[in-house]
Amino acid sequence: MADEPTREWSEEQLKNDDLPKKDVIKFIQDNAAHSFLNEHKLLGNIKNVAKTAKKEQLIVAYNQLFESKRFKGTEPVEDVTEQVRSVKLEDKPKDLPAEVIDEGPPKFTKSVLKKGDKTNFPKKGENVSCWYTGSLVDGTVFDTNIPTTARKKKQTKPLSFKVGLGRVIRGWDEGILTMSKGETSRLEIEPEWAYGRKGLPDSKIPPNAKLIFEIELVAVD
Amino acid sequence: MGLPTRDEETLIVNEDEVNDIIQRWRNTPEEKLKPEDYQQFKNFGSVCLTEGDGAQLLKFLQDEENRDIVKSMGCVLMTPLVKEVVKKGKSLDHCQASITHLTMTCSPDELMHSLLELIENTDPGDISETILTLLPHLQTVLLSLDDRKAARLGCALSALQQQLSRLPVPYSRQQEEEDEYGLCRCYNALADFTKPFVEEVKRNNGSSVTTSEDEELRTELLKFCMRSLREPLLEAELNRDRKSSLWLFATEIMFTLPAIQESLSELLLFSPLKRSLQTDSSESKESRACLAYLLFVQLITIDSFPAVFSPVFVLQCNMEYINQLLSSKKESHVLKGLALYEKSLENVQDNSLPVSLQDLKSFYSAPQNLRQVLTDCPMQNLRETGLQVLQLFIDKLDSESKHKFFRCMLKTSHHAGVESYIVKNIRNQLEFSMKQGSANKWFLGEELLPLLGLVLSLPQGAETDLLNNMDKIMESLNLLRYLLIRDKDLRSTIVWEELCRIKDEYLKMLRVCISISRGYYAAELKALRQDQKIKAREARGAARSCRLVKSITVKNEKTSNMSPEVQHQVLQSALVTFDLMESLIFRIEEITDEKQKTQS
Repeated sequence: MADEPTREWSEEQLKNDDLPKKDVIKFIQDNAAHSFLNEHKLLGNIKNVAKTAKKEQLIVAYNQLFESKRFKGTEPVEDVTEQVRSVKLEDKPKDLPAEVIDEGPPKFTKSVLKKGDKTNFPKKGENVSCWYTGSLVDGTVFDTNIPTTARKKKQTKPLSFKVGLGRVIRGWDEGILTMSKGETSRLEIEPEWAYGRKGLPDSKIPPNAKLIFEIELVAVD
Repeated sequence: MGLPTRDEETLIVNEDEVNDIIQRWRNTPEEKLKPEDYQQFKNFGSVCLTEGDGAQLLKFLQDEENRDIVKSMGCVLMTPLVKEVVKKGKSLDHCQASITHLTMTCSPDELMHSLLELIENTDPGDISETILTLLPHLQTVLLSLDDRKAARLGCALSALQQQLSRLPVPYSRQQEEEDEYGLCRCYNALADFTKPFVEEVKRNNGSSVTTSEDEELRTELLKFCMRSLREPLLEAELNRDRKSSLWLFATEIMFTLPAIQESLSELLLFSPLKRSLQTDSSESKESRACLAYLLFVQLITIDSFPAVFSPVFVLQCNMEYINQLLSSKKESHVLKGLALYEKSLENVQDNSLPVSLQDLKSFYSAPQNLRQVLTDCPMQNLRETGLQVLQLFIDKLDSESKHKFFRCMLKTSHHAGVESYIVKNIRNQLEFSMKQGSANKWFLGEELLPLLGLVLSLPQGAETDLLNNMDKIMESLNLLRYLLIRDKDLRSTIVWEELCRIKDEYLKMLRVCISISRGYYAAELKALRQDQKIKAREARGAARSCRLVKSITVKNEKTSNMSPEVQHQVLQSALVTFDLMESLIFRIEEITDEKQKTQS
């Protein structure tokens, strides 16, 4: 949290015609919280604000700012999230753009069924291979790559892909990064990090479905 | 013994001579046989068949005493025998039996050679019948080969598909049911033909050691599948509601791929990333495009496709195929491309695609290709679907992305219809943003003005062809009117003076343009009317004096192919359009004045 800003002008100075509206607006825009600016209609281009706001209003706002102490950095978490979400990202990896940073809590839980070697953790961009079974909350299995017989399992290859690049649903990308080679875990993924509001009807995943995957991380590059 | 004799250029005259020759052959080792012998043997066989004496021939072949002859020279009979079967000659069954006998007696190498030659030299009219006749025998021979089976299978499949590609692919339900050229029957027979080889690959999968022969077999079968996807499947109309012959063939292919250990996710999503540019020919892309269509749109084997990939990633991978299909001029391709585009977009959340995706070449090209379909494709149904897909695409972009896309389309489409559609979308975004309440800098902030600058502009300034650009201009005026009516919501978020400046410049230019255009068209109309008066006068004169009068008219360059009535209509409607534009401008000025009054 930044140090609290101090009053630049006294009441008299504020009322003085010599002090342009623009300066006051700039000060408030620089120091007030986003929600404060919104409420007082002080968002946007300074010239524009200056046209629509009267000096008296600005003085009132200025004083209220210091009374309420609603400075930048004092906002509740949701507002911060909103602002961060609108930040444009510079980094462009070769194949897929990076996901927008969402500062909310992780939308999956993991329970380890069989421990891995706890040494080989996959890194973003590395190839991983896994056997998995996916089911809905009601127990319906909608997908698996584990063949029915052990003999067939010898003939089949596990699913391979580069982790952490947004090629799979987010729950997988984030979840698998926490697993080590040989580990089998159960990931319960909220719809926001799975197939969300749309679901994947062709694969029998309904809208807003929480998905449960049992994943065995067989190999890490 | 007895082969019938006949006067032929081969100089055989009587039965005795024939018998002598046959006796000689029986006693000649293979390496001593000469090309003339082979030719003569072939002639004997052909004569038999033309006489309708297939039974005799069969008897000869089955005679144990002739076994060596058959073994050495039997293959030359393959061509006449197959031709006889195709012709549906008299001794059909005997011929079939003869062919079977040959496949069991002659050396597989020679048989392969003969059969391949047959396939490659088939007359176009006989393609399907020949192939249908040959396939079972070809299968028998291949299965009996000891080595180089995979390579030979590859040659056979390649030759067969080459010939089949000469047949037109049926497109409508009726055409498919008729199957006039036998294409559907052939492909389904071909699928059956490959089954034992697929089974062999499956068996080999289990063993821990795979030889290069096994690998080669897999490779040849993969090539077969990929070729099939391109031809005939990409050309066919495939619909899951109508499980036609070719649909069944498509299903066979889709099941063969995983059977030979080709994972669809590898083929569609990952190998393009790994593959070098050299191997990624447009043919290979066409095959995979068809594969993507069959999987994602027709849902064939979708239940065994992993349900873990992110929809945006799948969309991105499919973009390549969509581009391939949309850049084609064939209806069957474009239709599939549009369907794949639509399906891939549907699985993505609204307003979610980030602007960085537009930097990817395939992502940028697809809407451009789509636009091409909208403006150039002669088929209305495709244009209509294309428009739906365009809107769906726009809906999936996030705000910044939409902004960039609109700018891009306004700059590059050079088509008033498309531009007007974009302007409509801009207006919708504005309306939506205003409802939302919270500031959206792309449509309700500082970024709106650069976008409006593109909307409120005339491409050739005062010399812009207003009629050509009518759609866009009318839509832009509507947008302008809307902006002015909603000024309250806008004034706090954008620099209003800047907007007014843009508006004033635009309207000024537009007014000039309208007056120039109006002047021109009014003059044309006047000239046309005068022209008509002269013609009418002359016609009356000619009627009175019963003489043929040649009327001298100055042709209007623009409308020279139209009748005067139609020309008149065109000119009149142009003038009406200008009136419309002007009335809209007037209304806008009215609103501006009203707002100015309430502001001060």
